[in-house]
Amino acid sequence: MKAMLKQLFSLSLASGMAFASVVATAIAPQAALATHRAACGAQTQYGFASHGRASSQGKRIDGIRARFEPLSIELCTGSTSAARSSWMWVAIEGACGTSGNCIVQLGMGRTQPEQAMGWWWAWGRSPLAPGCEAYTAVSPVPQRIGDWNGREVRYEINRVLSSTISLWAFIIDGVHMKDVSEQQICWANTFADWFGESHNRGSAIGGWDAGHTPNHLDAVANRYRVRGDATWYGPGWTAGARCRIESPKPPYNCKQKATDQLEYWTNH
Amino acid sequence: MNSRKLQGYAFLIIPLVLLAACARIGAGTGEPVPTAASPSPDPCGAIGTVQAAFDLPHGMDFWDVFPNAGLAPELGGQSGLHLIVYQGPVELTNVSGIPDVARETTVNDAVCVVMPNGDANLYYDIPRAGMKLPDLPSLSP
Repeated sequence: MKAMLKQLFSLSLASGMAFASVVATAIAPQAALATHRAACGAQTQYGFASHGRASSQGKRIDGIRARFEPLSIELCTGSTSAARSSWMWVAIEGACGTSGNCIVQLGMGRTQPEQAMGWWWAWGRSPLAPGCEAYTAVSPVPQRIGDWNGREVRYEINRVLSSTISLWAFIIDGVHMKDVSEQQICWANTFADWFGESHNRGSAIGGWDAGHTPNHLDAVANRYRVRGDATWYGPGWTAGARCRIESPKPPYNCKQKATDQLEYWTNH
Repeated sequence: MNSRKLQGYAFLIIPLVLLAACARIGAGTGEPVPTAASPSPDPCGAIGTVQAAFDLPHGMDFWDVFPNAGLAPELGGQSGLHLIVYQGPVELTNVSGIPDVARETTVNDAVCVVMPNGDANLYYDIPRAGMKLPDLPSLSP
């Protein structure tokens, strides 16, 4: 019996170690571009967003684009919340009543359980929006559409019209990844937004280094296009100014680094 | 019990015990732990109680199930859809947007529609009056 128990113990150890090895392999974080991390904060619900917006002077926004510089988007540490995430987006939005769901958006993000950075898209609508009263409500839940290639990438949403098609195309480095038909977007596309955000205890955004130096994420070469005009315009922000809207206030930050460039970070 | 049997049992049982232990550790952190009544996030990023899940041959069949639902042009030409119907409030993970407008992170009367290409739309406030779910096996454990 004693020999049997000894054997059982050694088998337990062996199989346990093998199991632990499998688990460790499965949950090991993928290598990040930088070592920046941030401890999860007290945020338990909707986290943070910070953005710049272009004025369309009443015209419809038919295109938006930005270039993503090869930086690491970080999640906070110390939580296993399924909802923690950090993102950088381009988006076209419209008046939506009291809802915020009138949006088409494309961006780079990192979420749980997907640890690697990747491309995500979302679209939504609300019957609270003028023109959408008869429509179903759709929540803009982001869905992953591809991995990041580790390089600088241009991402873009552009309205495409021809004699045969009428849609919003979601384009990454010139590749048409997804689209929504114009018929399903009942709201008026009047705002161009570039924004970064971090969700549910996700006070990380770009993370920070051991010396508490924030890792700034930059969205550069921000451009938008209005209906009836093929030119891509810069938003013309005031360089050095803080973003128009920050919510909540610190530790989240956003600055207009140049007339067509935003940077996002968190302070800790 | 002979040694070979014991060896077989050990390799089978010990990992399961460790797995259960890990689950308990996770449960102790206060984080949500998926259960039968609170399934893992689905293709729509929704966490809630699933009332029914079934396939729909054609997008237009959506209104056979929910006769009072509003317009959804994106469903019209689709075929081979999968529906997940939720009961009660649904928590949406990662719903995104700028800060000056509140996003609905908890919605009611939600339906996740998964397209043949894997895209998924999360519809909410879908009127349940007149709802006709297909005859399905019980989802209860």
